[in-house]
Amino acid sequence: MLMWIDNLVDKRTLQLTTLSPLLSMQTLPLPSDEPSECLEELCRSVISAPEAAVVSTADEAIASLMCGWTLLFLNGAAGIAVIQTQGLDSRGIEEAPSSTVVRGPRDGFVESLDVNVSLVRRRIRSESVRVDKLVVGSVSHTHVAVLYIHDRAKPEMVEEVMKRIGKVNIDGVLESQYIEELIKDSPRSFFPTVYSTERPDDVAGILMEGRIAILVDGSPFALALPCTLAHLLKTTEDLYLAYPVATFIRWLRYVGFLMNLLLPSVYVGTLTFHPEMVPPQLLSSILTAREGVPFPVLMETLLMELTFEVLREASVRMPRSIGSAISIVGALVIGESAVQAGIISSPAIIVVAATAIASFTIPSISLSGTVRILRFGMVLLASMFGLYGIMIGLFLLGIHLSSIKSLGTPYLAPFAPFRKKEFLKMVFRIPWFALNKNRK
Amino acid sequence: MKAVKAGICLLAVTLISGCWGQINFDQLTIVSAIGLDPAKNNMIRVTLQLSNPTLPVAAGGGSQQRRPFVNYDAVGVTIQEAVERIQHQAKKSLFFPQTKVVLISEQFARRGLDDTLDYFWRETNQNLNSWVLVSRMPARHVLDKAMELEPVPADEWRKYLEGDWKRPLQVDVQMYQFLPRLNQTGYQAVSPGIGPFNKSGKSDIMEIGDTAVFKNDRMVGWLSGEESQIVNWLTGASRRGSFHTDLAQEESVSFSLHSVRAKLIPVLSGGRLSMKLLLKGEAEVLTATVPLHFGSEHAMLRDVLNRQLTTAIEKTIDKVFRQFGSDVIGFGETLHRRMPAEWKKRKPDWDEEIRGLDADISVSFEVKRSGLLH
Repeated sequence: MLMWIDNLVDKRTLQLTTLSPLLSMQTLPLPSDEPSECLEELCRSVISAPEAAVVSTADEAIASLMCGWTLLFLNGAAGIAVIQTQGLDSRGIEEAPSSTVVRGPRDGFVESLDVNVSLVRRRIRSESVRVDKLVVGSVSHTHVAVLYIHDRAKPEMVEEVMKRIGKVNIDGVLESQYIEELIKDSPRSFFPTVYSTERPDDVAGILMEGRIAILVDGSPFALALPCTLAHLLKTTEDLYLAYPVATFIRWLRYVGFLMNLLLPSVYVGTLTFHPEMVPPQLLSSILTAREGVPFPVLMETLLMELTFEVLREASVRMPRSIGSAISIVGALVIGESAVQAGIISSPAIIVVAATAIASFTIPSISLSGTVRILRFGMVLLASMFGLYGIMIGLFLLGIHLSSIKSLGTPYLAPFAPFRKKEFLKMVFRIPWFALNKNRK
Repeated sequence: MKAVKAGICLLAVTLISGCWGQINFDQLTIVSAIGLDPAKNNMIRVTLQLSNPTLPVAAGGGSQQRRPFVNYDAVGVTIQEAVERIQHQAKKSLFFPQTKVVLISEQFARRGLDDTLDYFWRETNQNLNSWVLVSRMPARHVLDKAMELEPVPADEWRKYLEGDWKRPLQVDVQMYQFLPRLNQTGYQAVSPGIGPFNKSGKSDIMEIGDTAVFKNDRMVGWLSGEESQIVNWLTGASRRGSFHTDLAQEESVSFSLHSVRAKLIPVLSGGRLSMKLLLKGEAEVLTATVPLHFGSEHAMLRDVLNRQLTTAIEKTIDKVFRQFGSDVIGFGETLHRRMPAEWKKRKPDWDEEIRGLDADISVSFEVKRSGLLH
């Protein structure tokens, strides 16, 4: 007797590998009289599917059945034959929408684990790439693959990752974020200690650095460990651009990170506590611009920041076709009219807009989200204690960042603890020719 | 427990700092100039010029109809008292950290400043980078009547005084340099003067020029532009200048001078202190009322320049030392650096000492160029 779930199997495979060989056997004698032996012989020599095996328990057979395998029962046999006839439809490989590049490969991960592994393996054709598969989720039975290069990744790190994934106790895994939250170091920290990417070339680079990647079936986002702050501020495209350009862009990104975190709080802190620091002409024009504005500086800044966050959220949720309406309403109606009506001063709009643009320079979505939240904290501190408050905030942030680790790597490495070679690599994009010279 | 400890630390950091004082930003008015005048009964009249912020012309502020500045004045025993009275008139919060100039009227300066200016040392919310000017007429009138191209006159004055191109005929001094020199025996204060150029009508054009010389905290006299230039060279404030020499009756040659370097050397001979002054530099002919042959008359030009410069410097030093008895070129400080023991001995009578000081002046300028003309 054959058993399969209609929606999970590929009918063509089923017919070619299982049905036709079995049907053509009808006229021939059975390979063996003993049912168990006969089943094994059928698996071995008759069924032409790439994978076929005999399992002994019903649980194992049901798990396979749920994955789209076909079961073959033989009357009197001790086991059940499972035949790989899986046929899950998958989206075509498209450009990763969360991280597009100007120059560089354009393929992105899809929801199928097999395709994703193949995308990575295609880039590193080496036998030392290891793919360890695990199953996670007591209900969903999601397949998870841990990828590493076995002579580059530290064995204890791999072991630790496997152990952490093994400990995961959850009903279902619908996205790699589930795994990320369950295996990350310092889970209470706002900062992401697990890197996530949608790009196979990124994962390939990570593997070659000796780091470990985790692919989760059903999610196009791969995870990588260890992950430090500097990793989150790097993009793969840095390596695809000419080294001076890439270095410049990387510095811009560092500046953007700081601006995103500090600009509104410096604006609020300086104006409410230290207006003497503002150059006279600038102070004069800020004073004029603020004349008649009903809100204090803090309120104004917070209002505009909130408005911007709402706008951003709205534009993510909106269908693409009416997305442009958001920009018209947001930019023209709120920005322009609020200033003209004298509700918000134009310096506040400029500050919020500059912060927003700076926030888009951070390549990691999760880090950008963290900074967005911390920005509000910084603004509140600045409104209470001025620049002194900002310094308190930065110190607390520094203490926190230097206390967390990602899989044994300090989060601020290579800046603190200072490692010269890695530091240079982080600050500058060292050209390949210089790197090769060092290796000799 | 850990959280409690962290909380205590945070609370300490925020509460012990003393960094309080939010400023009511929207009520802020910038004080752009402070004027100090004497008043009856040894009181002080303080005039504050409050600037009314206007949008820059580029941002469409050109057509705004509002007074660019308003002057308030009040009398008090101390500056602080007068400022508090002004606060009642102006209502808005006075913002001192961006004050551009402090005007001290001549009368007030001659009365002595020591017992009043400590306000500028003690008050934290003010600008030690503001420029000090001594006004020939009451400071209040200068502030009321001044008419400049910029809407707020103090802005214009500040820009003129802080310009990178140091005007050699002009001394300039900021509050942080001016205040300590009021009490410094070996290097006394000077300040540029300001006064009306022509007293024609309601508003006057103010001229910044000449130099007020202080002896301790009291102003003693004025130096002309040319003398200010020499003081500037001797203190090292300026390296450039111009000089007119009289070649013959009604014939003169003007030089532009560069890389002027002065060296003051105290010389002790037999217990008698004298000053040796070396001045070096380069000169360039700017104008001449007679035809010159640069090749053959080169040496003559140089000698005339050096001779007449020496005379001018002698006159200036004579005026400063003998007439005013004030050490504005900082010779006392030079002695302090070179011979500390000698300075200690002579410091108490330094005012008397410099009156009888001999100056040995040697000037060596080279005439390098004759301009574009041969």
